[in-house]
Amino acid sequence: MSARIGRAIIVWWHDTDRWLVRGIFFTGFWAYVCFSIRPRLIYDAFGIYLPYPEFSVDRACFREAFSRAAGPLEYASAFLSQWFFVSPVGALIVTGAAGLICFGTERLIREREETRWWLPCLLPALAVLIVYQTYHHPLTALLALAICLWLAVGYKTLARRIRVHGVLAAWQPIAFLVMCVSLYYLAGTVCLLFGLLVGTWHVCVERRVVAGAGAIMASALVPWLVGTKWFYMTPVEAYCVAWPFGPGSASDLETGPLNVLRGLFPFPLGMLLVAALCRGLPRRLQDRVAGLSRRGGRALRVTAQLLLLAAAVAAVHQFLRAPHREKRFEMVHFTLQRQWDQVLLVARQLPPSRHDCFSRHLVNRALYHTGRLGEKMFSFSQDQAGLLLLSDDARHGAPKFWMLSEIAWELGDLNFAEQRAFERIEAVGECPSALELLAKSFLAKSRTQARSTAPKTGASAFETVRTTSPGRGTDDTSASSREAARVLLNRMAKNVIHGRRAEELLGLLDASDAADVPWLQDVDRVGALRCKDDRVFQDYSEELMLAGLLRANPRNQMAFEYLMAFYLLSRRTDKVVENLHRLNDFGYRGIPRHYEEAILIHANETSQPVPLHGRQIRPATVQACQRFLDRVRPWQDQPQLIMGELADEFGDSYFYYYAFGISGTGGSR
Amino acid sequence: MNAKNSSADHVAFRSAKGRLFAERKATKPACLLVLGAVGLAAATAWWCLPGRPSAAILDAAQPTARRPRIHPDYDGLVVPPNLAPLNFRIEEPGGLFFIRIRSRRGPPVEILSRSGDVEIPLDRWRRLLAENRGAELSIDVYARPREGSWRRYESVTNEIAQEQIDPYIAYRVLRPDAVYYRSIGIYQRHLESYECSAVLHGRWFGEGCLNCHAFPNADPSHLSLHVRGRYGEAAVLVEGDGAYTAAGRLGYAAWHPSGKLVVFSRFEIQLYYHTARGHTRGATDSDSMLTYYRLDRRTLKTAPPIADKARLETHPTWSPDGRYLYFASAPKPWADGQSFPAEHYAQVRYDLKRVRYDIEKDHWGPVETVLSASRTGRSNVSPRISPDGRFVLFCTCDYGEFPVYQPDSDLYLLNLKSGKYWKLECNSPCADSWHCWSSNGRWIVFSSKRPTGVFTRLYLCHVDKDGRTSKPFLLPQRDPGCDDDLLSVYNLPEFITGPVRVSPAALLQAVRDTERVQVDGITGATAKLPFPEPWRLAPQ
Repeated sequence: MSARIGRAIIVWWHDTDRWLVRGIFFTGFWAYVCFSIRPRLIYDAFGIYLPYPEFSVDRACFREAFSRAAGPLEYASAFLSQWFFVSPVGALIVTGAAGLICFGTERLIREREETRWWLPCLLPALAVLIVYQTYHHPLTALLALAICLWLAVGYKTLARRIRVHGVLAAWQPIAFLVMCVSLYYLAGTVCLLFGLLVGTWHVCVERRVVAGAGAIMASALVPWLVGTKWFYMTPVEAYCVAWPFGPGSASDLETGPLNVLRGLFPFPLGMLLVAALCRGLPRRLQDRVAGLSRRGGRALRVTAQLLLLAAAVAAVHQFLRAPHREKRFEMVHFTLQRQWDQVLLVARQLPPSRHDCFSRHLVNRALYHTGRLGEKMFSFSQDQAGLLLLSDDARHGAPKFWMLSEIAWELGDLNFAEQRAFERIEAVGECPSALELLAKSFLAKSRTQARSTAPKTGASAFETVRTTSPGRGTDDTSASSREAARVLLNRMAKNVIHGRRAEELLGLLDASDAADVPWLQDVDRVGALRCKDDRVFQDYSEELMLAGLLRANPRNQMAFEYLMAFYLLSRRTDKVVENLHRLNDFGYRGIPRHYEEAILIHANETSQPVPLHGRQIRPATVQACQRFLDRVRPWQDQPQLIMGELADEFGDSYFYYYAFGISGTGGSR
Repeated sequence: MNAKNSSADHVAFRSAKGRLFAERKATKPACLLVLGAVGLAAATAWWCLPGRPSAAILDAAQPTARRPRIHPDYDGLVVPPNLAPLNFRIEEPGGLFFIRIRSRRGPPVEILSRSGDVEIPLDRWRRLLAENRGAELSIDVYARPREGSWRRYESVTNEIAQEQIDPYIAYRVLRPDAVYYRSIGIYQRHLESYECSAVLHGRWFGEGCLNCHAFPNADPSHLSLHVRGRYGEAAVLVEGDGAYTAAGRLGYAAWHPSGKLVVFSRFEIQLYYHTARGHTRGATDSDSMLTYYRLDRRTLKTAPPIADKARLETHPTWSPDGRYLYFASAPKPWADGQSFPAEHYAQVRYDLKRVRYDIEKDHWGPVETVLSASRTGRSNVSPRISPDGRFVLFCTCDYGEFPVYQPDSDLYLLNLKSGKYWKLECNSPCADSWHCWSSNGRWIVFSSKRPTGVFTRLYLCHVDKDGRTSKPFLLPQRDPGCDDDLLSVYNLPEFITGPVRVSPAALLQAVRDTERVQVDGITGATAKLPFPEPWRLAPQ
C-alpha cells in the first residue's frame, strides 16, 4: 500500500513537471502566434492570398457541407477560421489544434502510466508553428489529423474495454469500421492514417497481427467504397479529400510548408513504432534511459526542458520564416484598414526584386491616397501590369479579382467593379468585402437613377424609367437595383463576423440623405463618377477605362492621376504633355515631379517647346535631368553598362525608369 | 476476463463492479430529479405556448381595411390543386399571428405563429386544395401586438385551379455571370412538396459546366444536356436508364415528340461587357446553325433550311405533332463568324421561323416566317409551342438572342391560327425569359429577374384557354425567405411529369466515359465553331 502510494506521489510529482512545462510552452506558443504571427493578417488575406473559408449561418450552407466527404470538418474549420478576425482567438485556435495533435499523439503511444514520450510529442506543435509562420492556413488538415488521433485513442480505449468486460470480440472490427467510415465522412482521407495507427497498435503493442492487417486493409478500401459510391468521386479524388497528399491537394500551400504539413501526418505513426521498439529493449536499458531523464533537480530539469523548447521556437523563428510573404499580407491588411502610410512603409521593407504586380498595385493605390502618386511612384518598383492589373501579365486569380474590383470602385467604374466582384464571388466564395462592394455598386446605380429620373405625376418611378429611357442605354431601375443591394446585404448578414455591419447597412438602403453617413457618401461619390456613355468591349485596357471615366467626369482626379501614371509607365511622354492642361481641373499649384521629368524627356527628344499652362518646372528637376543626360550620353550605345552606377542617384526618378525600365532601386527615399 | 491481465487490472475490474453497483444506487434519485425537471419544463412550455384564440376573440378582432403585407406576394393567384404549400411571411407588426386558410369545403387550416413565418402543414393543405378545385382559397390573417387586442386584415384570396400542374420541374442553378463553371448544377424539384435533388452537378466532374437540358414532351425518361469541363465537351443523351455521350459542342436542344431525334443548335458565343448599361454583360452569337441528331443511327446532320450561311439560326422547338420545327433566325450582317461584331451586334433581330420536316423520309421543307422582327420591331426568340398546338410562347428583346441580359425582355403569346400576338400580363419591368409550358398547356414556368434585376427566380402562372395569364407567383419554398439572400440564379426551367429516371451515378459515368459517339465533322454551313474558353483560375 505504502509502495503504491509512494509510486503515485512520484507520478504526480513528475506529472506536475510535465504540466508545468507544457503549460508554459503552450502559453508561449499562443503568445507567439498572437503577437508575432498575428492571425488577423491571415484573416485579411482570406479570398486574396489564401482560400476563402466559406461559412454562413444558413441551412443551405449547412446542408451542402454535410452532403460531401469531409464537408462537416470543412464547415467546422471555416467557422473557426472566421475567428481569426480577432488575433487572440485565432491564436487560441491554432494553439488548440497544435495541442490536440500533441496530446493525441502522446495518448496514443502511451501505455499504462508511461510518461517518457511527452517531450518529443511536442514536436508537432513546432511543425504547426512553421506552417503558420509562413502564413499558410491548413486548419482543415490539422483538425483532420487531430480528429484521427483522438479517434484512434478512443478506439484503443474501447478495444481494451471490450476485452476487459468480455464483450464479444466481433464488436471490435465493427466498431473499427463504423469509426473508419464515420471518419471518412467527417474528415476525409485521413481515415487511411487512422487505419495505419490502429493496425500498427494492434501489431506492435497488442501483438495481434491479423487484426492489425485487417484494420490497415479495411481503411484502404473505405475511401474507394464510400467516396466513389456515395459521393460521386473518382477513385483518385476519393483518396485526396481534405489532406495534403495526392494531386491537387493543398494546392494553395507553397512547397516548404506543404512538406512540413505532410511530415506531420506520419509523425504519430513513427512515434508509435519507436515507442513499440523501445518497449522491446531490455528492461535494464529502459530503466537506465529513464534514469538519465530524471537526473538533476526538478528546477534544473524543468529549466532545461523549457530552454530546449524555447531554442526550438527561436530556431523556427529565425530560420523558417517567410518575411516577404508576411510583408505582402501586411500590405493587404493595411490596405483594408485604409492605413496608406503603413502600406508604403511595409512596401519599403520589401526588396525591389520581391515586388510583384500585386504589391506594386497596392503601392500605387497608397501613393494616390497619400497624394504622392505623381511625386514618388518611381521610388518604388513599378511595372505597367501593376497599375490596373488589366494585362495578362497580372496572373488571373484571387488577388487580381479583389484588387480589380476595389480599384474599379474607387475610380468610379461601377460596371467593371460589379463584374469583377461577381467573378470574385464565383471563383473564391462569398467574401463579405465582395458582397459589400456589390451592394454599394447597386445602390450607387439606384441612387443616381433616382436622381436623374423625375417621376411623372401618378406614375411609379419605375414606369417613368421605362418610358423615358427606352431600349438600350439607361435600362436600370432605381428600385430593382436597391433590391439587388438588399439581397447582397442579406447574404452578408449571415456572416459570423460581418453580420452586424450588414444589418446596419441594410438600414441605410432606403435613406435618401447621405449627410453624416460616410458609407453613403462614398456610394454617392462613386455614383457621380460613373460612365454615362455606354460602350461595349471584350478586352478592357487602361486607356479605354481611364479615358472613359475622365470623359464622364473630368473632375475624376483618381482617373486622371492613374491615366498619367499609365502614360508614364508605357513611356508615352507625348500623352503626358497632351494632358497637362487637366492639372487646372484639380487645382494643382505646381507640376508633380514625375510629370516634370516626363516633360523634360519629351522636350529633349522632340526639341519642341512644351506648354506648361502657367506653371514652371522646378530648377532641381532640370538640373537632375541635365546630370542624368550627361552621365548617360557617353554610354548611348550600351546604356545598361551604366545602369548600376546611376541607380543610387537616379533610381527613384522617371529618367531612370524611362531609360532602363526599372525603378525603386535607390535614390532619395 | 483475459488471463493475461495483471493483478492491477483485476482489482480495477472488481473495483469497477463495486463502483458500478454503488453508482446504480446513486443514479436512481438523480434520474428522478432529471425526469422531474424535464416534466416541469415541458409543463411550463405547454402552459406558455399560445393557444388558438377563441371564436369570440376572433370575431371581436378590429378590422383593418387592407390586406396584410406578406412575402412572397401570394395574393390574387390561380394556384394548382397539387402544388406544395405557399408558405409565406407576414410583414406586419405583431407579437402573435393567427392564420386561417379556408375554402368552400373541408376544415380550414389554422396556424399560430410568433415570428410571422407561416409554415403550412403539407397534408392538410393538400386535402384542402384537393377538395376545392375551382373554388376560392382565402387566407385570413389576424395579428396581435405584444400588448393589445387582435386585429384582422382583409382576406387574401386566391383561386384553386381545376387543372393540375406537372409534378416536377428541372432547372439549372448557377452564379450570376458565371465564368468559371463553379457551382453549376441541374436540379429537379418536386412541385407537390419541397423536395429538391441534383440531377447532375458540375462539382462531381471537376467543376464542369452543364447547360441546355431538354426533355421530349416533359418525359423524364429521355434527357439531353450539354457538359464541358475536365472531360471535354459533349452532349449527354439519356434513354431510359442508360446514358451515353456524343462528342461535340451541341447547344440548345429540342426533342422530336417521337423521341427519335434531337435538334441541336451550334453556335459561337461572344461575351462582351458594357461600360455604362445597368446590366454589365451581354452575349451574342457571331455564328450559329441548327443540326439534328438521329438516336437510332447516332449521326449528326444538318440541312440547308436550318443552316443558312447568311443567317443565324437558334432556339429550336418542335410542334406537338412533330411536323414542324420552329426556331429563331436572323440575317447575319457580318462576314466573320469568329470575332465579336462590335458595330453590328445590336442590329440583329430574330424572326420566328418554322420548317416542315418528314421524319420518315428525313426531308426538310421550305422555311416559313411565323413572326418577323419587322412586325414586332423587336427580336423574337425562344419559341415554345403550346401542347395543343394553338399558341407560340416566345420572348422578345431589343436585339440579339440572349434576352436574359436585357431588362426589357418580355414574354409574348402568338395565336398560330389568327396570327395575333400580345404581351402577357405576367411580365415585369425586369428580364422575363426561359419559359416552358406544362404538359396540359395550362401552366407556364419562367425565369424572371424581378424584383432585383440581377437574380433570376422561377415564377409560375396559369394560362387560360384564351391565352391570358394570371398573376405570376414565386415558386413556393419551405422557408419563405430563402430567396431573399440567395446569390444563385435559376434558368431553363422545364416541366417534367415525373422524377428524372436516370441516376446521377449513371450520368456521371457517361460524362467521364471517354468512349463517345463521334459527331463532329459536321458538313454544311459552318465547319468549325470554337467555343470561347472560360477564364481559367490560375493556382495561387
